[in-house]
Amino acid sequence: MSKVLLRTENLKKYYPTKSGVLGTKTEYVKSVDGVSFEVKEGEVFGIVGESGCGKSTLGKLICNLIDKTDGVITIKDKNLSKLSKKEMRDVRKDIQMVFQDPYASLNPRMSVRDIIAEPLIIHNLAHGKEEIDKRVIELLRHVGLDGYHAQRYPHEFSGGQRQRIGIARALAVKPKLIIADEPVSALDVSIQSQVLNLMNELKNKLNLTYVFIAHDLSVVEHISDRIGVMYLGNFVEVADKYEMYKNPLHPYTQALLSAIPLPTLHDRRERIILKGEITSPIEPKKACRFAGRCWCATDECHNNEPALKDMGNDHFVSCFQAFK
Amino acid sequence: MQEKESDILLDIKNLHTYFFTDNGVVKSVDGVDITLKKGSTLGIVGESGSGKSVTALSVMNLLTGTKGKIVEGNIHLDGKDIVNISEEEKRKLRGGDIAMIFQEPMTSLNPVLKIGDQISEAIIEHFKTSKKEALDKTIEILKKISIPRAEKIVNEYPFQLSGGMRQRIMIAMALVCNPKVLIADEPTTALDVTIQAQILELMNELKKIVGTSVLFITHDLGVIAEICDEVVVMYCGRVVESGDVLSIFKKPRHPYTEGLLKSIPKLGEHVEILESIPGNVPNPKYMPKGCKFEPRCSKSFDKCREEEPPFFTYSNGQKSRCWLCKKEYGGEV
Amino acid sequence: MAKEKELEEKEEIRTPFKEFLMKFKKQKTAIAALAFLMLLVVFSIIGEMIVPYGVDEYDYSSVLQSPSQNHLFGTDEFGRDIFSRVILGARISLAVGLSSVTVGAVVGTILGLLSGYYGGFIDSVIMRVCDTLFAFPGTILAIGIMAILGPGIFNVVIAVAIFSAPSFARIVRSSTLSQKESVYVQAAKSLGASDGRILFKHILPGAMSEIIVYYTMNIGSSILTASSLSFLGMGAQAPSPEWGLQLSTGRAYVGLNWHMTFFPGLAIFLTVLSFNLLGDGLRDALDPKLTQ
Repeated sequence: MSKVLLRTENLKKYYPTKSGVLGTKTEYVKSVDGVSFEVKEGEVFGIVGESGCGKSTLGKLICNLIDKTDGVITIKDKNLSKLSKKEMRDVRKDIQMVFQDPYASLNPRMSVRDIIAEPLIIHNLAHGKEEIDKRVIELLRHVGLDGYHAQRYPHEFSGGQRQRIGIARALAVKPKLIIADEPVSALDVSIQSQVLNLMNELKNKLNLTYVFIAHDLSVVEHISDRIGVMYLGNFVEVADKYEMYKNPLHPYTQALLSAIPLPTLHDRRERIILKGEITSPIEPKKACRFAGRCWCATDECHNNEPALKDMGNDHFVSCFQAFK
Repeated sequence: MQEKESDILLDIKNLHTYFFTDNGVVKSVDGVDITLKKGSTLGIVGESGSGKSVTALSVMNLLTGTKGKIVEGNIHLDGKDIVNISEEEKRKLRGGDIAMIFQEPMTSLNPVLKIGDQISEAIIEHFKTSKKEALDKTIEILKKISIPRAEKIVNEYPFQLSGGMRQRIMIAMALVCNPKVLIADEPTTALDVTIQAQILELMNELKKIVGTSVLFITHDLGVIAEICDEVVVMYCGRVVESGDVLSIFKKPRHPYTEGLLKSIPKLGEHVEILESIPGNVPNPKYMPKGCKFEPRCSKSFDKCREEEPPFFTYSNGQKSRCWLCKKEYGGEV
Repeated sequence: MAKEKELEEKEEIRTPFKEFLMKFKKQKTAIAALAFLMLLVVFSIIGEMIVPYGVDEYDYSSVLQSPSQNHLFGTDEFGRDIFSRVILGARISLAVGLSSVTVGAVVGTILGLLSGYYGGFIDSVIMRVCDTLFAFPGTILAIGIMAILGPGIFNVVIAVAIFSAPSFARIVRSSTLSQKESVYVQAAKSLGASDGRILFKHILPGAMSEIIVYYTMNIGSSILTASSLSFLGMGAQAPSPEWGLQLSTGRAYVGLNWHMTFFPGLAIFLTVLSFNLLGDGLRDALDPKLTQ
């Protein structure tokens, strides 16, 4: 039974907005609203959801890029809020992030060598130009690039190559957990598969654990072991990928699965088309957040908020209809 | 299978669109032939550098002001030349016979004008109606494409609407003047997948009701399968394969198409490693002499490096630009 | 693919600096301006060796002479050769211009970085101070400062530095604000970079192009201000060959002796113009729209 690497309990991130006539009333955009989940060592946990569901915010919270409003984040059983500055710096080495936009995540004025060397310098992992250069070339080779690429600048590379550089940078500190926030969404289809294969290979070679955030369920399903579906700030269903695909319990998951256009032709199936749009995450009423768009919502759904319940087989769902 | 002349609505022949930049000439579209039949939906699929968007811009004549120019070839709409005409005539075509919808609805809609005004403007421009008549027609069209609360929406501004809604408004604006051809450049790429499903459903409905011919540009093969009748695959400014959707998906005849289909993670497939196409799109400075896909092709042989293959046609109308076709099919152009 | 790799390897590295040079080479007016300024630099350094007469070589026998073969720009009321004095004045103008703007730029940049990055109270204080300084028209402010500090060219430098700092602070603050949200800064944070590292290794280099352009253009206006102050009698004092001072003394003789004001005036004009043109050229060459 592998150990739990990351755990969150009731994690919240609320953004205050002013409203009302004179801007006196403060409402909250509940971007992440009480998320609790676990990621075990060596697994790939996929988080999938559409825009506004809070998945990117969740990723940034775990990586400590933004401050949480409430809740607990634990890495290897260490509560992140209870750490000293020095301990926090060490923990930072264990979690690294790979960003979505390969064009924006690399400083255009720094050479590739400097970009990858930066984490080494910050954490004192290599000393002297020679040692740093050696390690940089090693990392470039890990991600399928060459040593001579080190002297060049980001604008000389394609999107897929830049993403590889971003991955090399994340690997420099030998992290345990990598949060990948839409790492392949901005890439061409043929390059996507290259990068996905690379990430898989690195996971096995370097014993990594991933939290893979994306809006494309096909991609998430391919690379993950377990998947969490997010909607308006929280998970509505969490299960292992085979289970999720075979037996989706939450109506939203079912709609997501049916909405994906498949490049196969024998399956022009009856599609579930959701009515309406995603509701606002500002002060949602006390009800199931999906009720407004759900085709099987009852009164109970409109008046009470369901919580994630274990339906057996490590399959969690928050839906009154599914509980039956 | 000979296509009847009258069936062809949009005929792009031997199109060459080049961009003259400070760093040299970029041959974005380098010899492309595409035919769009009346009432059909043709998908153009390709990745970055394939030239698919530039092809659309060439048809719409939206290249003035950029460094791009159509240097060779011509485009005929319903038999009429639309390249060698005056600027005034080109302007009349846009929004009239040919309409286009873009990827980012936010940047294509004027943020300071009400929705109703923007759509009415197009109607007044093309049909010379009064303001009231135009507004009535606007509401009628919005209702036709199932936009809820149409009467209220006409008084709202783009920022008040969601992405999916805006894209629907764009479609409405495009259809308002009954165009013969609708060019959709990645219209659903920026949308959530559930909203994308709504929009694709809408477009399928419209196909049946209005009968507009559509040129659908995308990189997503799944979307092509959903909505297109025929498809054209582009790579490095050229068409490498074309044919009807069923044939292409069942049996692709070009290694690039085959590679693309294999490299997409498919829901429920559960493989460990995806079959990916190695390498990158070639550097425009070092374009291969022969077949442009050869450096990344696992099935290439000597002839591929020396000479660029012509099109080989199959009996079902499928065409592929690959020497392998000659090998196995022994067919000619 | 191997052949392509070989070719790629041998390809020249396109560093940001090389890209800039390539673009700058096309700015013809800026290059002409740069040439003129280089000439001024030469004058500043070896001025004494090339001028025909000394800076205060009085010659009462040839007072107020019009331009002639002996005296290219004519002579002033003491018989001093104006041509020599104009050339020697270059050193002062350049020195004043460069030093005052440099001090202003350094102070303004640091304030701008802190203001933009930390926001809150620091930002409010710094911006309010800048707003106050902005409320005064530049030259009036400089005069006010001179009134407190007293006359002299050194105080001119301080005055100009003070009134140019707020503009730099504003520019750098705005660049900092936008870069703060950029993904590569977020990435640096996630790597564990300290604030100092982020400010000096990421944000400052990102603001450099704006700073350089503004710096160059500001030298022009600071030279103008310094000359104005000297013209008003508050800056350089006699017998300095400072151009503004020459204008001032020449004013009394302007009717028949146009050459006394014309040549120093022309020198100021050409110098300020050159800095502005250079600044324009730099801005166009540093334009972040890369050709991709």
